[in-house]
Amino acid sequence: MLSLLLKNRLNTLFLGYTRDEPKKKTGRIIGTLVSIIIFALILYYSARFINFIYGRLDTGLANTIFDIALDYIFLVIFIFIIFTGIATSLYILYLSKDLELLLTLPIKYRTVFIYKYIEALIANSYLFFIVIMPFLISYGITAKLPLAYYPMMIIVFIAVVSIPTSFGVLIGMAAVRLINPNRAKEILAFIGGLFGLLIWLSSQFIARFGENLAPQLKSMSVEDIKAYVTAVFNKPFLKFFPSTWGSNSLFYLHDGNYKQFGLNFTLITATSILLIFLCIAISQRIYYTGWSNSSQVAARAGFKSARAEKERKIDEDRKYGRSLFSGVNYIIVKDLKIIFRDARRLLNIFLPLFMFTFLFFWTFSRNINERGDIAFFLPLKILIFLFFPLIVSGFVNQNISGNSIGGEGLQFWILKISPVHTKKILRTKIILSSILTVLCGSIIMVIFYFVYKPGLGYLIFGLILIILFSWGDSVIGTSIGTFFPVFKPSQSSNRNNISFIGGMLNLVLFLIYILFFAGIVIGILFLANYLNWSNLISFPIIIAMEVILNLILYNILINLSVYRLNSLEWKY
Amino acid sequence: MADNSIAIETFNLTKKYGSLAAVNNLNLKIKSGEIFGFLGPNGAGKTTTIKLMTGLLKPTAGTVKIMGNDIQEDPLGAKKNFGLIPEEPRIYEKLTGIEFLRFMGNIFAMDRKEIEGKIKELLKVFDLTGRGEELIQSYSHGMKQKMAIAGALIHSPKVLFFDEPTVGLDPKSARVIKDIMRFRAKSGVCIFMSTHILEIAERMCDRVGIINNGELIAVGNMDELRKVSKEKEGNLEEIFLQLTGEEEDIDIIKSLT
Repeated sequence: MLSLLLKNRLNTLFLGYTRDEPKKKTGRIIGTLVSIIIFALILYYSARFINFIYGRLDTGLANTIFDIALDYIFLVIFIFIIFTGIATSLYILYLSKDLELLLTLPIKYRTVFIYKYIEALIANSYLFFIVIMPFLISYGITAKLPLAYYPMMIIVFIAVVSIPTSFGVLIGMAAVRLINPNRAKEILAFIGGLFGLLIWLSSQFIARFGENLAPQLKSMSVEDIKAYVTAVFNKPFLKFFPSTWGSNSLFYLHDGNYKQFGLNFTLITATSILLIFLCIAISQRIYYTGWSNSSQVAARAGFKSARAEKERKIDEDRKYGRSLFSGVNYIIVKDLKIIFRDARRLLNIFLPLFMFTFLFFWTFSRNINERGDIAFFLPLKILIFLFFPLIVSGFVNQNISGNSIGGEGLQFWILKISPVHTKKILRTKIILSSILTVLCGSIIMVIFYFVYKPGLGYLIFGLILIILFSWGDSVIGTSIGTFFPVFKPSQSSNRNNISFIGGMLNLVLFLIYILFFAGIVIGILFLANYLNWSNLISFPIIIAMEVILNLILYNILINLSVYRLNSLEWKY
Repeated sequence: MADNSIAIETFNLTKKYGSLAAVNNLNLKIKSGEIFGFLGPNGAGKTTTIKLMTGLLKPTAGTVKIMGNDIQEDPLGAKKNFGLIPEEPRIYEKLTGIEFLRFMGNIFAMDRKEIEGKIKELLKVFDLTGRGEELIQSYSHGMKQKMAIAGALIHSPKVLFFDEPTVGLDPKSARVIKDIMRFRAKSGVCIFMSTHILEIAERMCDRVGIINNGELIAVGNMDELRKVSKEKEGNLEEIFLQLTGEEEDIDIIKSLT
């Protein structure tokens, strides 16, 4: 429904260019052309300006200037949107003409809110988009930054403008609880006027400050200027502003400091996403309070009763447990209960974990030096840290996934007559074995982490690898299990869930899979070492390739298994 | 509320193992609200027929439709509509009774509130209220059978398959099963029951089908069965023995003694 509303909005915009009154149509076309020209001019002149600064000034000073400039540009956008954002959100959320129509349509209020939020975001940021984007593009072009910079630049821009928009929306929604939206608009217009006056006064002050500063700067050395600029502009409070996280992410990406980039990028995107979710969550409670005219009030009454009904259902859901593991996913709950009540199966599953942990501490030295005796491209401890837990996971998985279907034993008829698609049954089995395998692999990886201390980045990367490996290996094991299950009454299903051939095949395919899986990891890490890629580049490539490998395996093996399971007869 | 729609329909249903035809060209139409008894000597093909009807086995030829849904072409549509109570109550022994019923309710995509309500109701009906929290492995054979039946009933199916429903049950539980069958049939549920206990079939079933060596040799109500057999006044046992040729065996046994 949201996409339909957005599509309709785009269509309306497009029709404004083609079918509106000639006067309005001409105005729109001229406005668009002017925007394009402004965009191009800023792009051209900012590129020349950046080149000029980097060409004439010391690189360190130029970097300092751009670091601070970006901070302040983003700060100005941020503060400006907070103020304008309240007025914009008031108008778009409560006073726009299409709201009455939207409220009479069978659309969820949450969808209306999200649609209106996107409208507010665009209304708040399109002007900055035209002005700031060309500057940021020039910043990337002049420094010959990799292509990855440009999508990051767009994400950072959206995150930076979405935060004050969210604040504006939240303040706007809170304000209309106290004041009528029309009155709130007038009050905000007055505050906006005061803010404009403040900006004008500031510009007068800065101009005089600049006039006095110019002769002084001429007589100063580069280092002095750098220290002066830093002292004047690099205020400690800046780093707590979300806008600074946005500008820093671009600056550090430009500077090649990927660690700082990762930190700032995560902060800005996470804050932005959190605030958007907060807005959506809060809108469910307070968005409707500002609806004031008759149709809006009628919609509010409907909303209140719908909300009361929803709350009643939530209460019931709480009473009857969580919904994540209901329906077909209850198979996972059932299997977990059965496994944890069967001491022998439990021991089979966790034995490799205990065995390998013991083996490791008995045989491996904990004092492996950084590169070992052999000159690997990676420290030996990293290789052990990454791959030893995978082997443990694989052996644990041998005892789970292969027996997922076989473990159903003589109760297999229950699943066979259930009205659940076979693929869904297999999916639950794969999820179950992945959960247990990831659990065991993660335990040993965390132990290794404290032994080798490879760094948090490697721990996160290692845990993602374990998840991916467990998923892929579970797909293989579960599929083998469907082809070679043991259901014979004469042969206890507890003792022998997967046939001997199945067990052997499972082992062989596990070894082949780990070769492929580890091959991708080692190959890309080797390439990264050769090409001097940072981990921020090589890790995502590895993860993407492993996901592709798993998806190929999943689609081939699961479809074969579905075919096999559907044709499997329950004879006993 | 009984209606006349066809609940189970088989068309030339055949299952062969090599040259042996376990079920051969079986054609049946059973209406909603009908209790249908399926009789036959050991190895005649009764359980195989039920397995074919419920999708546990694939037919060599022919089709089965449950409430109009072909079990091979639209298995999910067909499976939503029936419950199966097999001869041996092979259910998850490491689950408690309540957990098993919850599992059954979930795989039939029931609402959680409805599941909990049904669990209470079924445990009460089967006199298992105090035992629901115990592991099924601690249950007696009869209790396991009752739990299997409760599991099949939880989603209120429109068709119920009973394979020897009263085997291993105490008289009270057997009576409960019979009452459930009658009650469900009155509310429009089709009951397909294979049994060796001819008295139950005679007393409860609206129609009876007799299978021997995979062939359906007779089908109808008591009057119709009497017409096709020589036993014009006989009860179901006499008709059954006459139709399946086991009367001759009894004569041989008598001559031996």
